[in-house]
Amino acid sequence: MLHRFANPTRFLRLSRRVEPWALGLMLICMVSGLYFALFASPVDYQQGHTVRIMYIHVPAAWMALFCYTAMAAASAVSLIWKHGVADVAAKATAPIGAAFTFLALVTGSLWGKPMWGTWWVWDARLTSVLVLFFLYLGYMALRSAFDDPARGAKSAAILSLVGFVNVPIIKFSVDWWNTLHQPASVMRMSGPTIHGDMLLPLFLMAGAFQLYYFWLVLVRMREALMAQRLRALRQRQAAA
Amino acid sequence: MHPHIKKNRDDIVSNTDSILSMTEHGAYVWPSYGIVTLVLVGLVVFSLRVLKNTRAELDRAEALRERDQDET
Repeated sequence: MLHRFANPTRFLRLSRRVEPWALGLMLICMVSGLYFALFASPVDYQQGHTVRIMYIHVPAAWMALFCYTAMAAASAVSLIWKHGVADVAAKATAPIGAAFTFLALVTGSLWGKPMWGTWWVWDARLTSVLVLFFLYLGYMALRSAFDDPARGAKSAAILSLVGFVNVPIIKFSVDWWNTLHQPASVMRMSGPTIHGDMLLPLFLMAGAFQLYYFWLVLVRMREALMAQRLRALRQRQAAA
Repeated sequence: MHPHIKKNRDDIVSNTDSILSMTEHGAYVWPSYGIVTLVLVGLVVFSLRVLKNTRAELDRAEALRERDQDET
């Protein structure tokens, strides 16, 4: 299955077929999610309207972790099997993951000020997510720091695998240390502690963000594969 | 109309009124949604622009290669 899509032509053919569906579904989820999140969901009895920040903050934080996991997995496949399309997937994922991590940090800060009375605290959850953001930036900087794209890709792939240790730290930081950040309230063994009226917009927005990633990563991968072909053509023309 | 549905509609209308007028914590909610929109739309616009430029350059390079092949 994995090796079937190692062929860029086959991957591009499939990608062009899937992209419009992903985009359409994403728009449906996004519009309905925003409607429920902003207008048709209840106000929290303690947090008031600030609870609406949850519908973008939590999915952005989930996506920050998901994108890093996807990037590390693609990097591993690229290192072990020399899978060119996997390397392109890791490269295309990095800026999207960085964007979601940035959004999780900013929206968390905007939620923290009215609820905690502060924009920022150096607790384990917030600090480890900030480290995640720097890992994304480091990955992108390292990739472009080499004249030889293959060496840059290999170095960045190793960095992403080493940095993966931060993902479980983020997930369990609220259980391992005393943090101002609240513990998990959706992905728990005993089930979510959030009311169904609030879970609906939360899951719709999470679906929209997931589809946004899926669609955009395909677009960015298509561009990266075209850029690879362009580089190869120019090298051939220069050699001739 | 079923009284439960009527009540829900009333709740939605009152929610809409209060959040649009930015009562309570609207000053934190709207900037959050604003920055999410800005970043996500910005990344899409940037990615599509790069794709368009790369495609145009690739088309030019392939046309050049075909012309060279025809000449030889």
